[in-house]
Amino acid sequence: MGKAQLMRKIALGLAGFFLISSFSISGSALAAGTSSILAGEIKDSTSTPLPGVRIKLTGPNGFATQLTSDQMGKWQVKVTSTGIYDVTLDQTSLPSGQALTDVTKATRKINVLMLGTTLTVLFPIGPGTEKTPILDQSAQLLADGLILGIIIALAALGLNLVFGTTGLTNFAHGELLTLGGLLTYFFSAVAGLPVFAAIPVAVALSALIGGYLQDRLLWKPLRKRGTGLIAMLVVSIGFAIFVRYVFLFIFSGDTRQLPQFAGQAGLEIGLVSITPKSIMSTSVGLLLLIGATLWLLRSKMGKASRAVADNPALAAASGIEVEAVIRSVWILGAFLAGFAGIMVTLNQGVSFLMGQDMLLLIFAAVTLGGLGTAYGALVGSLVIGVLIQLSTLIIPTELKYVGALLILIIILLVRPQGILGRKERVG
Amino acid sequence: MQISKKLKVVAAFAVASLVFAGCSKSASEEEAAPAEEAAVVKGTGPLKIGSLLPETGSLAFLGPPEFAGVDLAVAEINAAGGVLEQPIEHIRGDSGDTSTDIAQQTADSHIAAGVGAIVGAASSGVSLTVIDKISGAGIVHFSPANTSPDLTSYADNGFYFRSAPSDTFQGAVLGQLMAANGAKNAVFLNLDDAYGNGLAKYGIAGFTGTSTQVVYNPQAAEFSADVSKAKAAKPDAIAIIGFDETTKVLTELIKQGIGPNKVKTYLVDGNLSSGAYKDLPKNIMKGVKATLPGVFTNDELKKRLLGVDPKLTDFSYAPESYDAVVLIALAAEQGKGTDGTTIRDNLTSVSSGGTKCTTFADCKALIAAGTDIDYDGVSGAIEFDANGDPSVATMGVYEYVANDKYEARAAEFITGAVPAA
Repeated sequence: MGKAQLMRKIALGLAGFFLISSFSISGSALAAGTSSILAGEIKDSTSTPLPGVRIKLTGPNGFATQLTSDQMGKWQVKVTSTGIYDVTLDQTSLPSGQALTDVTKATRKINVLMLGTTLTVLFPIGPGTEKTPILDQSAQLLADGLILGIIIALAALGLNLVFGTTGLTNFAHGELLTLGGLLTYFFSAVAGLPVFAAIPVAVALSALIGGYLQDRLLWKPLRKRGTGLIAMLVVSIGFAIFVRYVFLFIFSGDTRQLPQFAGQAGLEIGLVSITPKSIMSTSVGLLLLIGATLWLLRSKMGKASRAVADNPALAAASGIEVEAVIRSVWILGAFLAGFAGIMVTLNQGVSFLMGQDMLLLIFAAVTLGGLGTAYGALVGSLVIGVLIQLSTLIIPTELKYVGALLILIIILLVRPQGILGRKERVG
Repeated sequence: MQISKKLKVVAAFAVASLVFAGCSKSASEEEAAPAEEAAVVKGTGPLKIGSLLPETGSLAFLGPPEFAGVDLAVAEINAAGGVLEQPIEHIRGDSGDTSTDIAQQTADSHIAAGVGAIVGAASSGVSLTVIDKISGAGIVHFSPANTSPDLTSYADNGFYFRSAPSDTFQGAVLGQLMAANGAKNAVFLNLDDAYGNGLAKYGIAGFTGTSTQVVYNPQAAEFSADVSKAKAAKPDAIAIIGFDETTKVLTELIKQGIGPNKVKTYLVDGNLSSGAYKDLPKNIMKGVKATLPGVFTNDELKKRLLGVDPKLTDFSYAPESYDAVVLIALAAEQGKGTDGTTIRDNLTSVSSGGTKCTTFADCKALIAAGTDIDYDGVSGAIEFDANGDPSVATMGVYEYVANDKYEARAAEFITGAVPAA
């Protein structure tokens, strides 16, 4: 915007303000003119003007007039009262081969709210803008689905490991994501660290606070007292609400963006737009998932955790230190969930409700894959992530979870134990 | 024994979270007259006005200016001698948003405190969840910011009023604005609630080009599929009708290459904010236009509002909130009663037909002299129709000049009769 233009705008704004304020003081009607103009341009889909097209107008107080578009395809009518005008394009007057995009919309209702205005009346002609083909859309949806799947998988793995080793259905798991996101926000936007430095700090603190301390101060004492699983589940719901509102209290309710990464433009790779930050964070997320899987498969502690998940009593009897296993599972789970939260924060920002918004998907993924099975969580997450995105090709976007959850129900009807779950774990 | 211990733990958490949710309320609520009494017998005690405005949730950014409007009105009314020669009392309350249950608790505590009127909520969706409770208790439910057309004909026993116009008006202005700016193929991205769907419907009706509507769930974990659907329509203009989640939608639009720097973008009253987009890439919001009901908030009023809350950066719905409180006070003054029924019966009369006045002090003097008054507020000339909606309104048009700053395009403001649904 040029300086002169800006000055003009300010001048106009001031003039308008004085007009309005003087009117409201005198209390008279705010009408800024005595007539309004209805105008339009009739052009075909290649923007060639169409002259000689008949337009008919009817309006309040018996207003009726008819006119034709000029050489430039333009037409305009002056009206002197407010109200609703019916503007009709005579479709028989269009040149042969031309038709309205929507032939049922030959009559437009134009509401003249105030006199002194110019109202634009469009009559789209031709086939209309061609939509992106389904294939192109699917590519984008598939890419976003895989990213969402990896985020869910990072979060779901910890939930499932905790369930497997302690039997706790942890409804406060979503808050671990929020914790990771908010810590990153705090260290980068508030404390001033570069985002690359803030992320490792936030992940480490997530593991410490959300994993070690949470287990040590809340769940371990409850386990020691022999609190029942249902009671622990209810405690986790209360704890989730409590933590959520602590976040709200500290960080207030709006969505925060990481300063250096907000609104990064996507790179066009083939049919897909994807942001550099998303490529990097998803790659790291994938590496973490692979690392966690290898840990479970290869390391002594990983093997022990699977043994505890299988049969805690037998594991304890065979010399495995169950509490140490549970502690490391909590730390790993909080670490991964914290990073999942950071991925969401990088991609679109963080608010105190982030964990709550993700929790349903995490539970869906865990249930679909098989409760208590680490690899089940991974498979379930990818299925849920991709299905949610691809289902929007068929169903309205506001119902995108419905399609995915419907598939969840169908799979569970056929395989009640989940995709990779074992039969005896159910019931 | 074991079970009772478990229950104690659970109860402790439940209580803790309830206390937390309710901690914004003042302690003076308990000493209050029962609500039923007020509904039957004409109340003449001090006028109590409860606010039900967003301190938390997806509309929290609208909270500060709305609270400031209420506080300013209360201060000025009390400076002018109060209502029925008694100071009026403002009981603060949070409305949360539709994803939380806070509005119900706040409405309950206001009703228990014996308020004559409740000012709120900002979100139409929230108002719809408490309108039965409030109107059922015989209390005036006065929203400064609800614009959903669904509230026009709602069976509220005449207790529901609002100083913001129905979205039939904003929709017509928004659609026309987009067409006038040269848009031919528009996408309306709206959140899935009474407000979003209503405004999108009337926006699409007001826009005469081709349009695609994409409805999104505001609680979705992410918005890539929604934006992808918008992108598939290859729009030359995008209107985003939403609340706080608009920031997330915008980052996704930018990612998929149809951000405000590529496609002309329009916002509405629900997401016109100076704080929400400041971290987005520099100047990306420049040129984004938005509609917001209400006349231009002049500097004199801004200064008065800043005197109440020096931290204000937005003034959305502050004038409407101010007018809501003044109208309630005038209705109580004219009806000589501070109960909901008296206020309801007098609100239409003080807003229309009679000698015009623009401040509480002037209007009060006229009432004392037995004159029929017509209050014209700082948000415009308010005249209630039979449904408690303003029949005439002004729609403002604003344009971002930087990510954190927007300016009024006063020449494009539209004033007129609010169209019927």
